[in-house]
Amino acid sequence: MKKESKKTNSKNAIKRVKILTICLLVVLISMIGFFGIYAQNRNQMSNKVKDYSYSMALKGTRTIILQVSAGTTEVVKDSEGNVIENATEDEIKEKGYITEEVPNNKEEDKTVENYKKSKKIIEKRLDYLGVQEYNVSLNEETGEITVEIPEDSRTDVIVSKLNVMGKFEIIDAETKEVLLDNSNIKSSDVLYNRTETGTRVFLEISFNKEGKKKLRDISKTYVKTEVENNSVENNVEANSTTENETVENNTTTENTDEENKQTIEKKVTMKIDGQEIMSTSFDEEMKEGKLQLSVGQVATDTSELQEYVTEAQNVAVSLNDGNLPLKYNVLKNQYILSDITKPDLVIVEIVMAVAMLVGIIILIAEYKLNGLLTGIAYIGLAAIYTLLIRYANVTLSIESIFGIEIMLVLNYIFTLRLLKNIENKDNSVNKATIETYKKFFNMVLPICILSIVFCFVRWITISSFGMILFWGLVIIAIYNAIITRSLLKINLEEK
Amino acid sequence: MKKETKILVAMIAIILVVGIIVIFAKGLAFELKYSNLKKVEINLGKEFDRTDIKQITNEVFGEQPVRIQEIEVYKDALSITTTEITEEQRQELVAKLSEKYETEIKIESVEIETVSNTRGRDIIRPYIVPFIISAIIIIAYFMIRYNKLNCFKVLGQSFAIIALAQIVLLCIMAFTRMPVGRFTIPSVLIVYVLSVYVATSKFEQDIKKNMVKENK
Repeated sequence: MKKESKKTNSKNAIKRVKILTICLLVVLISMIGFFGIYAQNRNQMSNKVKDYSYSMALKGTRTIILQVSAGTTEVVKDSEGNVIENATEDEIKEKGYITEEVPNNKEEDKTVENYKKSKKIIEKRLDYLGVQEYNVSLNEETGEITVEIPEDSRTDVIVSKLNVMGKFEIIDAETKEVLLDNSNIKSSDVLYNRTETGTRVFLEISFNKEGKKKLRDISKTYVKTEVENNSVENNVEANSTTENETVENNTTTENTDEENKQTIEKKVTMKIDGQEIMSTSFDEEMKEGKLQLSVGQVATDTSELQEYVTEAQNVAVSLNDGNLPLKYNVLKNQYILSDITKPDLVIVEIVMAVAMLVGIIILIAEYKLNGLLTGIAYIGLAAIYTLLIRYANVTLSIESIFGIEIMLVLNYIFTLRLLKNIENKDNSVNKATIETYKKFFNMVLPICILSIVFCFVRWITISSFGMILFWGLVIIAIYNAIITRSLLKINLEEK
Repeated sequence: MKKETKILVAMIAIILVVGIIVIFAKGLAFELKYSNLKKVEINLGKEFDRTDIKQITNEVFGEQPVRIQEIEVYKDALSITTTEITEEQRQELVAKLSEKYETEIKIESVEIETVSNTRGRDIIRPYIVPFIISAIIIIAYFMIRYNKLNCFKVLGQSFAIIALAQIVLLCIMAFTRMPVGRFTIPSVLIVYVLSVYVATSKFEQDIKKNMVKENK
């Protein structure tokens, strides 16, 4: 009898030690999850646990106000009223050019339609730049556009792209005739080509049906041609003085084997927002309706590559969705913090903690020691969940906070079902766990589908909600199988 | 029909009728952020306490809803947004802030700006496609999983549950005058998850009932 009693006592002691060890582990995890690990860092105690990343609604926004430009631009014109670009002061004096102040935006262009078009283009640019959350509002009376975007390392680059006009032109370098413009562009993209020496970045401009035809004609016309010296001289003489100069500029004379031959290069100039990007001729016919422009040199390191990619993306952004019908100035560019402050979030945390506590008390009242053990496990799950959210880089938004609440409720339902099944299955924890898993995950499978679909959405508030649900379900599945089941098994089966 | 079901149906019907009447009569209420607003930005030059500012804005703007936000990380400048700011209110606000923070704020430096509203359709735009895609996949799953219940019936019922839940939420928002704002989408998401869970429970119960019938 004594031996048996000793054996039972020692078994009970081992059981208690096991339960206590798991509980202490849960407490430790909970301490780390809820309070963090503090260490001395430059005379300050800082939390070593990764901080949450917050969405715009909780952190703050970079607010940019774009105002329809009321300014003017100085334009140089000749006596016939033609705009002369890049004229030097000497040229203006010599040739009697006139300088004129031209408004950046004509009065007739300042229409609600153009304001709305500008707003739409800005939204498309933000989408193209991969901004995962933004607010764009328009004042239809003044055309003022307010843009709110998240504050991060890319914000300044994004801001610089918002009011770029994006006016694209391919013109005849000689006559300045516009051959292709924005209306002919279908899309533009950034491409890479890896070679043995490094990576080359390309800007690919795809043209629409009309643009494709035009490009094909241009590529046949603007080429290098070899002509007899005599015929060139004749041609040049036939032109007027001004034209003579232009032809000279665009004509390159090459010393070929046959001295009497000359190469004439008919060039096109590509301009974006009036700035000359390049001047070139075509080596072959462009049948595909795609123009690939090399950006920079062959990049051999990441920073160089990033620089060229950014450069190419800058152009691609401004070309992709048409040009802004109006010129906009940045009136304000400031970081405005959210009106939801940290103390507000602490209140939310307290409310959630109180709700959890009430839930645990109900569990204890209903299921006694089993209720207490599952309650402790429940707190541990919440702590691991908070750690997982941080290390899985899930952005915390108002939506995802609601998602956390859903997952905590679902875990509570799981726990209740598990305890009920244990009672029904004559305390066989494994059988009860298997049945609970089957029924529970059968019920939440559609929620799992929903969470996976939302995870792939680019809009941060919805993707964060999806990720929160997904990780929540994963943690419910793994954690309960290890911790909750073990605690109940030790308590009920090891006698 | 059970008594509980009858009560539930009656409640939903009342919510729908009242909600629809309110929507047509008054429309939905919008949170401050989604209405046309007036804003002032004030540089205090020293750190401020939100509670003090809130107290001052309560005195100046009375019952008007007010949003206080810090500008830039130094937290010495603030933005106050509300539905309307009159010249008197501007002057009173500047005077009270100058007095409280013992600083001279020039009235000319505090301009009343008009902030245009974010349209309701712009708020929901990013959510439409994910909602539709996930709903299609979930309903397809229901149709396959519960094919014994007649897949067309499952299609109709699951669609009705998901859609009805959202309509009921909209009606509740209308008659409780809960403003459309930052808590709208989270509420919509919660109701969506809940409706999916309810639909699954319903089909599981129906399957069980069918099995019991078959066994009999």
